[in-house]
Amino acid sequence: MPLIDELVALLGPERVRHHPLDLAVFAKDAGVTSGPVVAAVFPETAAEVAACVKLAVTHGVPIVPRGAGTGLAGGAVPIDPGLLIVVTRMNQIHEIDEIGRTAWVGPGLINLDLSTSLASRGLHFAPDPSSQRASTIGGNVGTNAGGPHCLADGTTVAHILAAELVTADGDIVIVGSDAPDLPGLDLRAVVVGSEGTLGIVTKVLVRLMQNPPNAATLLIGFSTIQDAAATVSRIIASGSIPAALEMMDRPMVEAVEAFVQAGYPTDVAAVLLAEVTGTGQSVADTTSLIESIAHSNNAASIRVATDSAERALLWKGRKSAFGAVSQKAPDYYLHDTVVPRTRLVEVLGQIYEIGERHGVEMLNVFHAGDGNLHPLVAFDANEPGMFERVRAAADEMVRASIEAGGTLSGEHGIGIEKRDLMPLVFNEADLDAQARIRDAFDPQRIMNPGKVLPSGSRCFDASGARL
Amino acid sequence: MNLPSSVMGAMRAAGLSPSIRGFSDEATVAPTTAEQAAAVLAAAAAENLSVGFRGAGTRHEVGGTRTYAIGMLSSRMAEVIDWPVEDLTIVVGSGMTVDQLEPMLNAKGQTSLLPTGDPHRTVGGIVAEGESGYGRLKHGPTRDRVLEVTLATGYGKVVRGGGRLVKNVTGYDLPRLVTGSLGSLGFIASVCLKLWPLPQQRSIARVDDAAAAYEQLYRPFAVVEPDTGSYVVLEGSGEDISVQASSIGARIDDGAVLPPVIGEPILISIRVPPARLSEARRLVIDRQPDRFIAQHGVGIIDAGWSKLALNQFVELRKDIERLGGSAVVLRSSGLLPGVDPWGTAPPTMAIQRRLKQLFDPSGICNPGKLPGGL
Ligand SMILES: Cc1cc2nc3c(=O)[nH]c(=O)nc-3n(C[C@H](O)[C@H](O)[C@H](O)COP(=O)(O)OP(=O)(O)OC[C@H]3O[C@@H](n4cnc5c(N)ncnc54)[C@H](O)[C@@H]3O)c2cc1C
Repeated sequence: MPLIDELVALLGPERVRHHPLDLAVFAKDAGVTSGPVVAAVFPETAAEVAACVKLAVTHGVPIVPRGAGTGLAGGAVPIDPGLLIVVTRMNQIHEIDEIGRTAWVGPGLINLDLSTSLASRGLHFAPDPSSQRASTIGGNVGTNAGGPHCLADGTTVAHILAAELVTADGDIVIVGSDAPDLPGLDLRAVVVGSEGTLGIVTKVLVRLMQNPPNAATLLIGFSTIQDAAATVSRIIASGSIPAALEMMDRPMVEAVEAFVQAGYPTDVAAVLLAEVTGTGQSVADTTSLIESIAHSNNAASIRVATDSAERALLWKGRKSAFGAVSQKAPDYYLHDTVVPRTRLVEVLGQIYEIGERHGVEMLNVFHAGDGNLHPLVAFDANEPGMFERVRAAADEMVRASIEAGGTLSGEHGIGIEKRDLMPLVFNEADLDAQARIRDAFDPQRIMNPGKVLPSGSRCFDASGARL
Repeated sequence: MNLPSSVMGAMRAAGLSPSIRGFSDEATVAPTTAEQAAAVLAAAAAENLSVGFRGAGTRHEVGGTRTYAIGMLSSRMAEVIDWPVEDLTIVVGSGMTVDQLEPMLNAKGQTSLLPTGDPHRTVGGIVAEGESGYGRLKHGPTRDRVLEVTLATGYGKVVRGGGRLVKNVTGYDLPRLVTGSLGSLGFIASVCLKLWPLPQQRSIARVDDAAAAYEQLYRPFAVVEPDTGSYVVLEGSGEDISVQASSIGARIDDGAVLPPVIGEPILISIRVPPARLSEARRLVIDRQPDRFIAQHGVGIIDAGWSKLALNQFVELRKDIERLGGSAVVLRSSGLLPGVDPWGTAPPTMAIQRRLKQLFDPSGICNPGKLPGGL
């Protein structure tokens, strides 16, 4: 029986989409790549996922796990005609342990829905990607997503205690545990961030954090980018890591203000959005510390918000940044490099220079506190030759970041988009070791093949001799 | 034991001269670079000779006591490789001890948050074991602070994973995988650690009910309950700390210190879901340990006995596993003969076995240390 018929027999026609219109929708994620889809299926249980995996394996069709499809690296886009296993219907909160501060949730649960439904218990899920209204916990696990509040609390991997995984063999296993330091190799740690290449996550045990008793959000304007970046370095070096430390340059602030009117100053070169959380005294102490560092670095304006409505407004500005860009130009292309925090000023300078030289429109919004840049180029793909120009500029920006001791991606992942840039960061022995991790989970390479590692990464045989 | 000439040759070619340790009759070699370590491993793999990795040797019983053909020491890889102070990261050789590392960091207002109870322990040993210090409740486990690792693999290559950056999703997470791998994948040559600024002040307050204190406080540094009482460890400015303490009706005890490491010949690490800690604590106390230290919110109880009947331990392990945890023998000094150090192996042994096989095809790297005899 053809694969589609077998899938329909398993899930019913309504949960197997293969109409050309559906296939067009699922051919892309939020990045710039697209690929051929055989069908998109919507299982509701781990057992159904496992059955789908076994069918795909039997038919030799590659599997692509998918959440909301908001990924920016092409992780949820097939390369060869593939079966999309979309987990958005597995969106339950299975159980909450308030004392242990954990919850078992389905991978299709929307990130923000989790924190919203925990609010009355005074708990939240810390990773807060800007896409949190749309992206799924499973997708966050897939990419090891970050967000503004990951500066102090760590990215998704620090908040995932265990996951139920359907492997390439169609087995259902649990990696990790609700107890600390499970004996044996920590498979959980490599599954998080593996972009769907090690299996399909069908249930997640998340760690929950207490809502902070007090918080202050500071919006600081600077007349030069350098002053803003220097303030970031000084704050970190002063020995206090705020909950969040975000930066936007003037073009980005202008776009955001036109889009959501968050009250950001548009007459400055850059704004810094800092958040301080904790006990009342520590929030007061750290707020005044940040204010004084900002003053000594020539801050043009400082606004401190302590009530939740005003704080929410300031955050709305930051979280709408990508949306705001979409209002400006039909397309955007962005990278996600990380540089050592002390090299921020220098690398930003190079990025502006590169943008100018290629004549592309640049906007910057980024996680300044951990050196995670998002140089964003707005463009119109219909303009002939434009995408090539944008890409060339973006490529140079990546190289500048890496030359400064940085790396390719801080939170969006490698996917297809950055795969072939991996040799800029890792040598062949490093890539071979990573390919061994993948092969331990998926020796047949049926799970999201062609992602993360360039082809030919497994270049040594078992004994270490070159293949 | 006499090493085959191929292995001796590889060692000499790498500029190393092995010495024989009298008591174990084991040939030991102390590389100074990852490349030297890889060359020795390649030669040993070709001859199927087992290699045991050694830091300070303070925890050599973790995963069980075994003898190996070659001992590989990290003692000559103890230097700072890179320390961009303002980036709050440091790259060190795996042989650096915590009493070299921590005072140096503290002098610049920084900390690695590694466990410092035993000053001789090496960074490589702690990372290989994946052990965390008391600050885990607030700052997370050691694993989340290992940013980059350089590993000499069982197939004799030097590989680097991760990066010297505080945020990174570029490729598979080798550093987190290597953390806690007990040398099963290769020899850890160096690591980059994420550092944390030292707080203005850190104080200890005595409390009556540790579990209640954990419930009420907002992100304390630690809530520790040794056999001598219950304590919370608070961080911040002096004023902030006293506000936090008084919010739970506790007073700062300037004389209090965190409990020293447990020195009893038997040392068991109990690991349970944090919500089950109080139950686990009762189960441990029922077996009358000489000492114990329970970490609330984390779910770990370290307990020490000068002697413990075999059947008592077996029962304790059964009870703890029923709570969804494990009772790991970190040290038994020969007093718990025949006991598997780990207990029931995790459910993912098939994948773990393949990982071990791919990183150490000849099975020469610290063989037998992992659960399931890997
Ligand atoms: C406007 C906008 C803002 C964004 N802001 C941020 C941000 O601040 N921080 C950030 O980190 N990212 C951000 N992103 C990127 C994206 O939202 C994240 O990568 C997110 O984690 C993807 O979730 P998703 O559910 O959309 O996953 P998808 O895009 O569907 O999938 C992402 C990857 O995970 C894999 N995957 C998905 N589900 C599973 C599963 N159940 N099991 C195994 N693998 C799975 C896929 O194969 C794919 O490789 C943003 C994107 C947009 C469009």
